[in-house]
Amino acid sequence: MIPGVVVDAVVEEPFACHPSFAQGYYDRDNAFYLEWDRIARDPGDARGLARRNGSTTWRRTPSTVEKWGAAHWDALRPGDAMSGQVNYGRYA
Amino acid sequence: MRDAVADLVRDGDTVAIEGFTHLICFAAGHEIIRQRKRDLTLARMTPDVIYDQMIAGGVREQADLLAGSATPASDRCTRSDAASRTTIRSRSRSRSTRTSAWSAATWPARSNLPFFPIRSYYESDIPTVNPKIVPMTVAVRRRDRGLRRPAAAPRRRDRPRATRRRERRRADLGLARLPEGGGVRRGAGHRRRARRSWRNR
Repeated sequence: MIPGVVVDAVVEEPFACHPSFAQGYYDRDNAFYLEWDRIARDPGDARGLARRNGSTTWRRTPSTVEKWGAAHWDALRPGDAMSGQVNYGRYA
Repeated sequence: MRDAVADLVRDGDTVAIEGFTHLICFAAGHEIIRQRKRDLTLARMTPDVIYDQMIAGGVREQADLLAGSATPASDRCTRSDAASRTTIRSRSRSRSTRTSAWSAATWPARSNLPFFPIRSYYESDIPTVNPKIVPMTVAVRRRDRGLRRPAAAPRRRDRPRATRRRERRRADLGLARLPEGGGVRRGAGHRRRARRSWRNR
């Protein structure tokens, strides 16, 4: 729980943490992390890619989510594992 | 995200994008690159690809990262740092720290305090490479007086150990004074036991 007094902005951003993950929504994109290892060995490539990230390629708007392709996100999507019901008790 | 970054991140700021493997907000980092923010100090408990990318994107002036962490992501940052050394090293300085010190650094920032005391660097070499770590003398800290104590309190007390510990901690924090004599009943027995051993506390 985060108290409101320390929050300046709340942003709705689908897949905002990709290639990191959000429990229950999408899994860690390990293939991407490995890919970054390769990219980071070549600073020119890394810088170029970061700049491209900064412009359009990885922009996480709904349109970019489409651009990556539904199959990509489906592969990262976990199955359901719902918590059971919790009885908090009803009090008058 | 565009509006939030535009409103809240200014050139020269210290930025922390946290998340421990899980929930690392890449979208915020990319938005910062996209808006061409400059001279940021990037702060994070564990190195991660997001800061590799921001370093490659040229947004940082220096990075405050916790090095040597046990996460799988840490070696990637190291590797990427090796890459960035060849190109943007001249503009980048990294200062490593430890988890406990990291907490000690972020608590006062969040609480608007000038500093936070920490013991874990005591007698290490780390303060010699990080000028932000400054030794200070705590007036009442019985443990720290250690071997130089001429005599220690006796085993016999007039209040329980837990109470004495609480009082000592409050005194260490400057919230209270230790009771007269440190809560110790002074007398012939005390002097005899104190002579016997300073360890006898």
